[in-house]
Parts: sequence; structure tokens; C-alpha cells
Amino acid sequence: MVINVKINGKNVRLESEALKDLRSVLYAAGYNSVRDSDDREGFTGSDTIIFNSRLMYSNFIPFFRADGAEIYTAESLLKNRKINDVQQAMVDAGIVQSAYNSPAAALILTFLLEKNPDATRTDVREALSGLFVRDAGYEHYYLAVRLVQEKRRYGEYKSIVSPSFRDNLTYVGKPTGKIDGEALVSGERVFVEDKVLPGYSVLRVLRSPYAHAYIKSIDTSEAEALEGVDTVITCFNCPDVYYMQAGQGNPEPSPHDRRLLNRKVRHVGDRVAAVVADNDEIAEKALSLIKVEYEPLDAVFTVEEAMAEGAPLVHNGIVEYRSGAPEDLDEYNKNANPLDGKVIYQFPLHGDIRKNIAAGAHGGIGDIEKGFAEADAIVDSTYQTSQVQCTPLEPHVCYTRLENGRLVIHASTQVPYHVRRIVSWVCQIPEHKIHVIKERVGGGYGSKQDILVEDLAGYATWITGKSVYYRNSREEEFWANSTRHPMRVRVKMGGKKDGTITAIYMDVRANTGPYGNHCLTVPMNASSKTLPIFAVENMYYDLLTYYTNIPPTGAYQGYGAPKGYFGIISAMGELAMKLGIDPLLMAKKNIVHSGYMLEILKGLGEGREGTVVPVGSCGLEEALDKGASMMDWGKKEVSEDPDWAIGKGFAMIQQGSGLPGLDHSNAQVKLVADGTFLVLSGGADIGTGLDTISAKCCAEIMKCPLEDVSVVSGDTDSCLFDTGAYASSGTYFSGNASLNATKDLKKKVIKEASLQMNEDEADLELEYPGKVVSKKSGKELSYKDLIHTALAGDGRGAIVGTGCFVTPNFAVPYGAHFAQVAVNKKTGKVKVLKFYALQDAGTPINPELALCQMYGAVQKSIGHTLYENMVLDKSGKCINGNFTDYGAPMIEEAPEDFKAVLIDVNDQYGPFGAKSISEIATNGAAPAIAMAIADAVGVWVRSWPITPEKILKEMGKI
Amino acid sequence: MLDNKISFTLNGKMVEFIGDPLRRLIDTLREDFNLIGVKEGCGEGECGACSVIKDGKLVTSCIIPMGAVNGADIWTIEGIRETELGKIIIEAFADGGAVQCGFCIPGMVLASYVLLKDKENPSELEIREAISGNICRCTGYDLIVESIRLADERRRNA
Repeated sequence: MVINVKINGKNVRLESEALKDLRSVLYAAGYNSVRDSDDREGFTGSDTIIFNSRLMYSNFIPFFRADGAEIYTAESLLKNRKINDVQQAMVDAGIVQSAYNSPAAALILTFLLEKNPDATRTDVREALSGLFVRDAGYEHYYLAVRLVQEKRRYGEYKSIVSPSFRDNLTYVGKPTGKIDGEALVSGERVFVEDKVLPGYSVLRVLRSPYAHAYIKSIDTSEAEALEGVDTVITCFNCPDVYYMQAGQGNPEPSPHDRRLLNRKVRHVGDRVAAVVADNDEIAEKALSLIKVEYEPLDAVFTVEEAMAEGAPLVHNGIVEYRSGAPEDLDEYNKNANPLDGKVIYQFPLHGDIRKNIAAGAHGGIGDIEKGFAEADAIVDSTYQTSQVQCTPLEPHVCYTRLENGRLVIHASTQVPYHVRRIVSWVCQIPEHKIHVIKERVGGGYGSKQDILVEDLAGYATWITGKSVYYRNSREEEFWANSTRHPMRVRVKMGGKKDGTITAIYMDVRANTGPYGNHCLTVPMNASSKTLPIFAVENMYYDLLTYYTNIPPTGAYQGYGAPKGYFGIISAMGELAMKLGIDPLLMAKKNIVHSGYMLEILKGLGEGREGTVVPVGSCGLEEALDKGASMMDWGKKEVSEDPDWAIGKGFAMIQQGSGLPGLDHSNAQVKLVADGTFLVLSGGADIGTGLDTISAKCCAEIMKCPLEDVSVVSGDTDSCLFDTGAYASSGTYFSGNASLNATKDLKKKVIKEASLQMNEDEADLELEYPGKVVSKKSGKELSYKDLIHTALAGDGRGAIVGTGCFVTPNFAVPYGAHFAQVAVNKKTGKVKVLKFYALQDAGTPINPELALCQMYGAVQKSIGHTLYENMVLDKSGKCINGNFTDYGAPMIEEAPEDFKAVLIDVNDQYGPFGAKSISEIATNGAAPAIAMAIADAVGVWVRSWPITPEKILKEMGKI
Repeated sequence: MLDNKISFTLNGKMVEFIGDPLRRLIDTLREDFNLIGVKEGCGEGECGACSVIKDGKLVTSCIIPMGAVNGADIWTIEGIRETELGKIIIEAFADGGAVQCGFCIPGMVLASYVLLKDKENPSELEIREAISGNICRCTGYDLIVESIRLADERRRNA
């Protein structure tokens, strides 16, 4: 049917089916700010529009109802290409990060301020109650509204967006806004879905209904005969190539234990067949025509089940080693089942798949038994974490096509170069034939470190020649994606009455699920990011990771550290309680300081021997002291309502900044023909502001306006190799590469200037805004004139700086998180009243973005602490695979008093002294809240999520 | 105006078009069927970039109204490139250096196809006549003519 509708003030004629959701029609008609994050569930608000003067989810409006309606989308906010004051304030406040629904948020806030110019915090909370924000938290949304109100009232901002750092620097350490902020908040066509050209084919996946089964046969004949079906890919016709999906450095510390499709399915939702067809309807129909005969097998879902004697084996195939094979390998493979395929270790990870063990590690320092013997008290507790989903607002998506015989992959990824390598390997295409374009990423959080969709879509395009668009449904995000590994962390800790910790033992048993991507490294982090915060002489850890049949696991912001911290800090709290001392005193007595030699690192290398280094820059003690004073630590708060008890808790935390010795970044900076700059960075900005860091490094060194720098990044054709955005490596590695490239460029500019100006290089320096000046003669040469001469018919050629960054040095961020909670003694309900996150990020290059990443990370981890948990039924199917049932926290769940504080230290290795920011911020909430609950009601809940039921159970009330 | 229903065969499949009978065939092919191998050069039937095969004959789709297509058998480069002869021509064009900027090439391939499907061993004059409605600004035509001859040879020896 055809309807007439007024959109953004213009009369428009739209044609579609009467019951089609209005969002799809608007998106297709070019209003691409109207996005979908929840498959028409009505949760995330990415599809918000103004419909007849009301904010509404356009997903819920059937097309016919829009006839005669008046609609406004975020596109209406732009005037002459310029964003409005609300959008500007959002950029300035640092909340435009992955930005998938930032335009929708801007529309909501603009609407709010139109109706209610004096909107209060409560009004803002209500207005945003239907908008799910996973990246930047909600705190600076309040700030953005305040900034708009101030600007409208006084003509300028009165509130400070963030503190500034380093007076001697112009851009670094200052809240300048993200260089791509305007494009993102205005709703430009910057995501993968926006790049899809007409005439594409769709790829759809038939998924296993069984958690564990052999595929006996697949009959695809009817599906293939269907008109509009291009091809059906199954385990019987896919390449016989083993790989794994984690985007890690090569050789990977994860076994190659899968092919594109396997004879054995290992979780509900595992790939069974893939259909390439002209459109979704045909693909759906084709999926229904595929006949699969399964031989179901018993499954294991927990570490305990996987460990049990005689447990079904998730992988019982042939084991191979690319290096370091044990001598008895033939014997080991004697009873392997070829239907299980292979498990190929790149190097030994101490796995034993005949016992469901994917990987193992152990190590430590001192004498653990002696340490426990010296203790006045010992606690020995086991902490269980749950399976949680990253829930990026933009699901996993990719668009693949052929161009000139090459495979082009438009990807929403954290690891463009690993995508290129792994797709090359799986499809057996040389790497130069693959071009990966990292588009803007609408949320990654670790889940887009894995090559979960590009492998299959790339292969489909390569064999059919068709352009292929693939997008996970929200349910598929839960069924077939990477999630936090459920882990069982046993911590035994001994201490003396004076608070000295004498020994720590950690026994980590991790559940990697059906495949072994990250099976060593995520669980290792539970120890390797926690033990080195303790200046304790006797420490030891054991680690075993088990294969099971739960939905897949992988990387999630914080990696294994949030689980380790939940265990180790809770144990410290329990020990302090047992010894009758203040846990804060115990913390301060046992933490590391700058210069402390980290002997423990020797046993914490990821599959290799680690290097012992001293603690570098460290704001840990200051974070603890400042947090304690903000929280009024030691003062018992009493609730006015006798049903509620109030308690306080804290956690000290650390993470890393990339992987020294493994990570590797490159960048180039070009001086372009008018004297401005183009940075080509291998780094993948996933909304974090990494491109802005590259731009600031360039502008700072070259002494030019920030506006004179553009950044192209994560494009494997244009940019040089970078391992990618994971392990908190962006600022430290990719940032340092951009800095090194700029320093190289500066040298070349000075050299060229000395030749052109007839001056000694030693007499020349760069001066703002963009010129070379001679100290000796006072002569000046602008970059514009310099490059013009260099590129002239008799010039010496283009000027390009190249920089690489690898390092043996660690730049470890530290911090402390404090929580104050109220617990209802009758119902077990928990309210997080206050949360203070204090972190040392070295020099925060983008301080406003840093603060928002802290808010966002804390909000996410409040989620796994109190609410989030993937629930499986007894067949292994995730039964809460949607936002509403899953229960990720929204603005209502954010602490009312929420503060992020940056502790000022300067790191000796980071670019301009910077360290990483956001992963560490997921480590504190669980242990701090658990300790606060214990402080309030006297019981420790040792499993995620800490639900009212579990609290009441521990209190003996149910 | 009333929308008319027009049925025709497109690259071997029956398709339907409902709409303005005065709409140009090129627009329908490019916009409705996403057959973007059909290129628009002049919009007045002179340059041949928009050539398609209609009922066995080479026509310029920019001056054909949809009303004239009812019941017709239409082939574009997207269909011809899947045929045996089409593949031979395309390979010969690539090997013979016939392709420079490439914009006229889909039309050239179709013109060659129409010639070669009915005629073995055409003379140079016949070849030049066959592509006389297709303008190429890059190559000066000689290598295209040679490539068509090469395609013919390969087809005969196949």
C-alpha cells in the first residue's frame, strides 16, 4: 500500500506492505538513524522516533498506521549539515562512543528539552528509561542535558566536562570531543548495514537443536532446488580446514578445533548448514527444507559434569600439534573418533581432551604451605561466575563482496587483520586477495574480537561470487556468540592478625563451552591480572579449562579478570572479617607499589614463560585513599527504614595495557598537499576514541590544529598491520604507533625544511600553527609551502612518517572501586546507592571519554553482579535469549550517586604517559558489591548474579 | 495513469513489471532488477553502452519503453556471462587486451554474442558492422575486433 506521511517537515509518499514495521520502511527510505537492536522487542530504543508528537518505538508501528502521521527522526536535528546543541553537548560530554543509538538518544533529549527546558535529573531518567546504553553508562547523559541548559541560559557551559591533565600539552589530556563524534551522533551512514548495496544475497544459518550430536546425514536437495537459492554449505562440502575463531596473535594460544561446519554439533545453536539465497523469505524456506539426521549424544554443561568420571567427551577427535607434540601422541589418538574431527594445538597448552580439558596451567612463587602454616586464619571459599552476554547494540554483522577478483569484507570487528588472516586460512585465499574494511563498530566489548560471521560470509561470497549480507538475530547473539566463560574460582588465603597475607592459592576451573577460543588466556587472566596486585611472598595457582556443551564463550571486556577479582577480593574480605580487621587496612598492607619486583609474572605467561619486571607507574594506594575518604570508609551508615541495611565494600583492581611481547602496531602519517595531515592507523577504533588519540598524537607533535588531522584506520588495504583492539591495547600500542609515526614524520619535515631553508636541522623547530621556524635566523616555512615544494616537478618527493610499536614493557593501570549498597533484609533486594570508581589511566588522553568508559564498564559489571545470567534449560538451550528476559541494567539500575575519578600518574612507557582505561573498570563492581552486601547483612554470596534469593538463602531465611 | 502489468523473460526467467509503460527498460533493469551491467552512456540510443539482447537482436535499452517489452525475451550481460559462448567472449576480451576503462564492454560483449551466435568465422567487416552501434573511446576498436576474432577461433576449436 501507499501512504502519505510528513517526515521531518516534508511530505513523503511511502510504499510498503500494510503490516510491515515502520522502522524498516524508514530505514530503507534513507532515514538510517532509525536502527534496530532488538528484533522488534521494544527494549533498546535504537528505533525511537517522534510519532505524532510522542516518542515511540518505530518497530512497533505497523506501516498502515503511519498514513497521515507526522514523524520526526534524528535526521531532523541537522540544520545545514550542522548538529544541534544537544548533539554537540553529547559529543562534548563523551557519551557518543560506539554510538549505534546515539542519534535516537539525541532525538529523545532534544524532544525532552523542547517540552521541558528545565528538565531535572528525574525527568532525564524518565526520558531515557526506554533507551539501552551499554558503552558509556548514563551518568554523562545527565551532564549533557545540564550543558545544553547552561549554554541556552548563559551562552556557555558552566559545568566542567572532565578534568584536564598536562598543562604543557595542547590536546592530550583535554576533553576535546571525539573527532568522529559529529558523524556518529548525526546518524551518518557509517555502520556495516549502511554499506550494503542493492542486489545482495542473504546468508542464513540452520542451527542445531541438540547440545551434542553427530550429524549422520544432511539432505539439501529440496533446498537447493528452490528458486532463488544459490548454494547450501554443510559439513560435507565445506573446506576441510581447522581453525578457531578468536582474533588472537599468531600462533594462537587456542586450539584449532573446528571447521566452518562440523560433523559433530556441540551446542544448541551450533552451525549445521548455511544457505545463500536471494532474500530472507527464500532463505527461511530453504532452511525449512533441509533434512538433517542427528545422532544425539549425552551432553555436559558444567565444569563438574565435564570433570566427572566417564563424562561424555565434547571433543574426542584426533589431536595434533604444530609444535611441541608429546611423544605418546599416536597412542593418545588410538581411540579417537574421526567424526569428532581434529583438535590442533599450535603449541602445547596442557590440554587433555580425553578428559574434556582444553587447556591447563599452573605456577607461583614462594612456599605456599609455609605461607599457610604461618597464618593466624585461613579462608577457603569457592566463587562461581555466570555466563553473560556482551549485548552490543549492533549485533554481529558483515557484508562481503567481490571486487576485481578480491574478497572485500565490510566488518564490524575489533581485529581487522586477524579477520583477514583467518578468512584467508579458512577459504584458502592468499591474504593480498582480501580487503577488510572495519566500519564503525556499534559495540564490541570483546565479542567482536572473534571472527564469528566473517568466516562463513567470506566463504559464501568466495564460492558463489555473490555479495552476501549476514546479520545475527538477537537470539543468535545469545545462542552462537562469545560470552563470559563461567568460572569456578576457589581461593584459599591465609593471613596474620596484623593483616599480612601470608599465602594465596587459586584453583580456577573454567568452562570454555563447545570450542576452545580463548580457552587458556581468559581463565589465565583470573590469576595473571589479580595475583600481581598483591605483594605477597607465597602465591600459587592451578588452572584447568573444560570443554562443555553450553553456548560458546570468548572475550568480554575484562577478559578473565572480573571473575578472578570476584574470588580473590571476596576471599580477602572474608579473611579480614575472620581476623576481625578492616579489609581496607589489609588491602593497603598487601598491595604493590612502584618498583616492587613482580616475581609472580614468571609463572603467568600465556603458554610461555613470563618476564619478571618491576611495578611501573602505580596510582593504586592513592585510589584506595581517595575512594575511602569519598566513601567515608569506616563510618557505619544506618538506614531510616529498618527493613534496609546499608553496607560498604571496595575492591582494588588492575589490568594491563595490551600484551607486551605479543602485540604489534603500525601507523603512517602523511603530510598532504596543503600542509595538513592524514594518519593511517592499523588500530581499530571501536567507539573508544582511538582515532582521536591518533589525531591528538599527530597534532601535539606537529604543532598543528587538531582540525588539520584526519584519521583512516582499521582498513587492511590502506593501513599497516596491527594486532587489533583487545587486551586494552588501543591507547598503549596503536596510540604509540601513531606517536612514533608522527615523530618519524617530524624528523623528515625538519630535514626537508633544512634543505629548503638552507639552515641546519639543529636550528629548526616546529611551531603552532603548522610551520617550521629557525631559531637562528627567525625564518619561517609553513607546512603548506614546504610540501608544495617537496611535491613540485623538481621536488624531493612525498613526506610520510612510519612508526611501529612493540615493547617488552608493561604499562599497568590500577584502581579502586567503592560501593555502598542497601539490602532489604526481608526481600533480599539490593540497591547500589553509591559507586565510586577511581582509576589511574596514566595520562588520560581523552579524559571525558575515559570517564564515560568507566561509567559504562561499571554499569555492565553491575549487570553481571546482580542481574545478568544466561539461563539454559536441561537440553542446553538458552531460554532467556532476549533483552527483556536477560535483564541487562538500564538507567533505573544505575547508582544514584555515581562518580568516576581519574587518578593522576604519569607512565614512563605509554604515549604521553597514557595507560589503558576501560577493561580494568569491569573488575571492581562484583567484589565491591559482594563485600558491601556482607557488610550490610553479614553474609557472603559467592555466585553471580547475586540475586535476592541467594542473599535470603545465605541469611537462612529461605 | 493506470499501472500496467508487463510480463517478459529476463535472462531466462519469467518476470513481471507493474508500472508506467513509458518507463525506460534500462531503468527497470538497473533499478528494479539490479542488473547494473547495463550502463547508460548517452541516453539517446547512440553509444550502445546500454545494449541488451531483445528477442535475439541487439537493442539500446535507454530508448525502449517498458510497453514494448511485453512478452519479449531479454538478456543482459548478467545472463550472457553464464553461457558457454558468453564465457568464451569474455575470456577472449580479457586475453586480447580489449578492455581498458571497461564502461562499453558489457555492450560490446553482447554485440559480439549476437554476431557469433549465428555466424562462424565472420569477416572483419562483419565484425566491425556488428559493433558499429557501440562507441569505445579508449581502445580505437582494433583490439576489440581482434578479440572477437579470437573468441570465434576458440569457439570453433572448442
